[in-house]
Amino acid sequence: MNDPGPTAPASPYWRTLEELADTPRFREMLAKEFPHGIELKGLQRRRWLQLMGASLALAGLGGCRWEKEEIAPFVHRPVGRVPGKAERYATAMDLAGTPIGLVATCVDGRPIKLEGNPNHPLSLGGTDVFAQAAVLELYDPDRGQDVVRRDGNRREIASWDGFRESLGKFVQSAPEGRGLAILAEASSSPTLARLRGRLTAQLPGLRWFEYEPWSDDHVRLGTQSAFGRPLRPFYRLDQARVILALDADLFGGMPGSVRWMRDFAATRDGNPERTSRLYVVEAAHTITGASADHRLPLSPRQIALFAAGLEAALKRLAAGEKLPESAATESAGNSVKIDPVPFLAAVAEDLWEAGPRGLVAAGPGLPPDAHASVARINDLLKNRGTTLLYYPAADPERPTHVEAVRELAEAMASGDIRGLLILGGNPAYNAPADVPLTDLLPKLEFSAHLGLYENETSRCCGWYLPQAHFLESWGDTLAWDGTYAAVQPTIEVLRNGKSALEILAMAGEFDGSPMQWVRETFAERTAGEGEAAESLWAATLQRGCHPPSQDQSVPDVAAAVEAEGDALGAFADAVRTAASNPSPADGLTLLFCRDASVLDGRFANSGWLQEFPDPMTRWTWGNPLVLGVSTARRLGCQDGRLVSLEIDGRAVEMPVCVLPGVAENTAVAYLGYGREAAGHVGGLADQGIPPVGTNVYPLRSSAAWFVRDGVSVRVLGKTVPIPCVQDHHLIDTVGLASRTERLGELVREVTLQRLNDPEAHYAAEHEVHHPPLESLWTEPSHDGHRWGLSVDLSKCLGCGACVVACQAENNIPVVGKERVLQSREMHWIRVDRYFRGDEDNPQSVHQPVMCQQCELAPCEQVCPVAATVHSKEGLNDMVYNRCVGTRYCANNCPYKVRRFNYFYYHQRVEQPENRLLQLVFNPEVTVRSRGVMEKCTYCVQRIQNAKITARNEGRAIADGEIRTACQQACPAQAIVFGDLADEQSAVSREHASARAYAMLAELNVKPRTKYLARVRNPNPRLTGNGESQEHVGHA
Amino acid sequence: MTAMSATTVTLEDNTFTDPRRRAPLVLGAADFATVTDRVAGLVERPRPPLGWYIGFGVAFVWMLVFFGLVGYLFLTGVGVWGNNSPVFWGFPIVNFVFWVGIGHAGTLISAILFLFRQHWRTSINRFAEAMTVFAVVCAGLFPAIHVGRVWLVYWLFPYPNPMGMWPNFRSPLLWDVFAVSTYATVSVLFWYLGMIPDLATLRDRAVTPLRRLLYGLFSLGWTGSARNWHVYERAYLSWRPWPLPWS
Repeated sequence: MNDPGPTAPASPYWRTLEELADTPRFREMLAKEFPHGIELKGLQRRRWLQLMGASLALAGLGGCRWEKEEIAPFVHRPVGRVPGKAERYATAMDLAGTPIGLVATCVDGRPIKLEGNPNHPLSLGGTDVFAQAAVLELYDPDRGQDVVRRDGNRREIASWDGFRESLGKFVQSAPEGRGLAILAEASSSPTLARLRGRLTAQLPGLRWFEYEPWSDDHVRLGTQSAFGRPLRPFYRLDQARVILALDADLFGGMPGSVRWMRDFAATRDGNPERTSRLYVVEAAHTITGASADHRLPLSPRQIALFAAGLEAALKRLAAGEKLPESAATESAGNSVKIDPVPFLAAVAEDLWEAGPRGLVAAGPGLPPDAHASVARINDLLKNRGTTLLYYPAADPERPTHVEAVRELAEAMASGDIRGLLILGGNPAYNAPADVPLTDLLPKLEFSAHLGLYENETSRCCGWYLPQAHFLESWGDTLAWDGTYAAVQPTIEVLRNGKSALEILAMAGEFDGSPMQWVRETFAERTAGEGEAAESLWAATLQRGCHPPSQDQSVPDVAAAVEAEGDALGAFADAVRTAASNPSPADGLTLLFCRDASVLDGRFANSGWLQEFPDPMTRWTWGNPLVLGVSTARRLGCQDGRLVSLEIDGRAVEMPVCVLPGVAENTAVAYLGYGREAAGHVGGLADQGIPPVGTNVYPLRSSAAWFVRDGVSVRVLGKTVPIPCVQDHHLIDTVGLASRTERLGELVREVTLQRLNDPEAHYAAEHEVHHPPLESLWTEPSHDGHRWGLSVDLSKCLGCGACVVACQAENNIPVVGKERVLQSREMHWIRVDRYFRGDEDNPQSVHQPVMCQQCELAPCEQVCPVAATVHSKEGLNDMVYNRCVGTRYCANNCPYKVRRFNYFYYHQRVEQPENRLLQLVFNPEVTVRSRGVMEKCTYCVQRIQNAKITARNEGRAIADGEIRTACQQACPAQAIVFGDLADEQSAVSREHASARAYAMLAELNVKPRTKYLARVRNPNPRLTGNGESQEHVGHA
Repeated sequence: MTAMSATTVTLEDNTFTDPRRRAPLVLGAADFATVTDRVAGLVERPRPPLGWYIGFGVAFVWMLVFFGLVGYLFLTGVGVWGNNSPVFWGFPIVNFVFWVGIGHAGTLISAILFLFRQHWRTSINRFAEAMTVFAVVCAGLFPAIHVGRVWLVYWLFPYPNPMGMWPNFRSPLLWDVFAVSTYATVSVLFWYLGMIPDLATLRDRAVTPLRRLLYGLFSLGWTGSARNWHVYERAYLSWRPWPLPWS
């Protein structure tokens, strides 16, 4: 049983390297039936109790008696308020200066769910994981509640009045504000900018610094050198036919990713007229790389050379010259190795042919020169106005964030700055390692930190000021294209916080309220529009945003032409050198990336985000050092092995994650972990709660902010358990062998060419041959609706917004690291990630798997108490209060999508100090107690709501009226839900597509969810034997 | 007597097959009375020996540990068993199958060997049957306590209820419940059936009214007549194949 025996027919797909290699470790893992050798060490409840749960426990759920509750009904019900009826308000969220328009769903005065605002240009209805998790942050009991005064080690609760007085005194002692500085986090708020203007006019000596630990400053510098002014590129991926992303994680780490995903996915439906081709050249392996048709891993330095080389190549093409021809690929076994130099030539030609429909995007980590180069490349393609727009960058005069924080530190050290107001952010934690803010801050005469949490920075400052969450304060945001969006409060201030606007007003002693200031800003901006201010404002609040009256994109500015060197040759040389010297003596190149879960560390206390698996590594609760396969092999380390990263006498220890596709000699470190003052979830050193993950900011200096060379990696003797969810849900070697046989059938792909070849008669469902299927049971009949879902694997880019959206909608608990290690995570959707081909540069596929709502559901047949039953509308209903928890259904589920409450996972929110968290629960969804099975319901509460509304209004439910939480959040619109009984519905059309197939249809479970095969659009010049690969999955 | 001497066998042998003679049931110095005294004396003695107290004490402590752990399980959740997804049943199903296996060994001895006329089984028969009964009790325990909400485990049984809910008769787990309950019932009945003559002996020897009453009740009016024995043997034989399908 434990011996896998002869390897099953080689499938082209694999999930992890260990599976591919079938290592002893992997076998051992299978043999143990526990992914990572977890022993039963009794219950480690302590850590678990510290976790942020998700859902409520209506008082008494867990016990056998009901607590006494006081209910105070309204004597006079407020106008328009219907108890229990959800209301929606438009608002907006600003994340490190990038806004996203949102619609908040509020029930009885509390926001419980955020959706994208379809009117907002950076959302178009989609959201990312951070917007989804914002409601949990709002109700986080760890958020600061009191104004705190710190003096040395003494900490005392103070008041806003006390702070106002102290600030006033300091401002008076600083003539014209000299000696006072403000360090703000990036914000797009026009009102903040206006108040800043007012304040600096009043206090001309006031100095203003802006700092973000990760920003697009290199883009600003690059466009500055190309165009003479900093500009903000805005991609129109929906218009593009050929896209090259140079270290640009368009769909993951980059600002605007929600919009980019939407636009890109729109071109990936297999229509030959508009399907784009995406090339990605990157060092890390991101979901953008996973979405690429061709991907080339290069080290960060080589990518900069690639940009220059590409510019030279395009110039040659523009001059009518030919590029040297050579075979772009070389086949070795069943994998295709890409030679970078011909790859560059092929990309250049493809881009050149696409012309204005071509687009090159560069990531913020590339040096400014590369950005200038990319700007010139785009100019050569003449794509301005079609696939690329430039907007003026905000605050064009500001220094880069690194310079700003260095200047600030120098001024603090020299005594020029005696008082500092920090508006948001956490610079003491995330400033470059050579900027000693933690030493300088306590020495200041006056220092105050405004923040959601009393974090590392607050602990260095004289004052901690609780910040109002954006959902409880007035504000505004400005998208790059000039779209104004108001931030509306949806709830009274919960934690005695104030917004940054109010702090500025305190410093300048301005009159008025945040709403007045915001309205004044809006009135100023729309003064020329001739519409009544009142109605315009009302309309803006209702729509959520107000588009600019005229196009604000920068008209043609020609990029300065750079003198031509032999950039092509330089790139070829660099590639050759790297190839001839696979293990350079000067160590590895370390690349810093924002994390997919906690971003730069600001979301470290969010249980939803900590437990959200990274889309590529699939790790939860922590950040590994990500290495490529060859590099890891050379260093002699495997998954979970602790290594020590050393540079300049600084060292951090962290576990390794081997991720296929990371460039050689490159290590990727995710920022934002190792917080020691985040909260009860993210780590709180003074209460003995260890930090989650490892802090890599100490390795980051202002000179090497994105990329650091010469990092040495020492492999330590210890291996830690890996909180990676990828290998969960597989059982033993029999299961593995059987899965290996089926994998090509679980995920299906087709090339654009084959899909559109009338001779090929492509139909994804014919990839698996099976005898005619006969049912053991009488098949259920249906009257009325037949709900169904489709997931387009071609559009799904793997971002995982659906996972967190589902968690927020359905009150799904957070289980914590120990439980994840035991393979007990509760997410109703898992986004499986598969690799195929060369382990140094594999192709990847993401596949979201939720309950498939089978017609002949295996789970229903085996439940002894009939707790899971079929509804007349074809839903596989779960009756929680009938479930006794035999778990037979989950054993019999071929998709392994059922989740069991092994413990009472909502216990934490019943503790008095955590009761605030109960407000986040969706009252329409049962909070499951322990011992109960749960799974995706197709958001049955949304279906019921729509049915009730439609019945009350005496009409039929329109197609698209019901949207599941995952569908609504999906930035790429990969998920479609609707009524299969209606042949015209969107979901019926998707199900009828040639690309549609049901996973494991051969089991005759008749799933209601269908997948649409992923379309790949390879460049024929680069395919090699790619066509033959396509048929491997054919049974 | 010469004829007798031709077929004389040693008193230690009761395995001869001379159809003219009945093999002695008791060999050696003992006779029926001493055997009965000895066996019944174990039950009738006023208090068990010290060794019994020690053995019982150890078993009792383990049982308390077991109940303590089951209590912990009930209060905390079935997660304490370390099951996960997709291994939802590991520990409980292993225990269930283990105890069912022990029970089957008892069934093998008491039923199958009986049907195959393996008389040597009689020496360990009662022991094996008791083992079956208690093993089935242990086995049945695990499906019952493995469920997530153990206080509702009775929902697995078809009983009339105000919800109008019946269990799902398609579920193999429901048939597990039926199988284990039937197996347990049959094993208990068979165990009891075999004890009836012995209970009657104890009744006849009983000196206290309580013992007389209880043994009298459970011996079902056994008189030891030939007719009693005839019916008893037929019943025993016809009952015997019953536990087999369940095992």
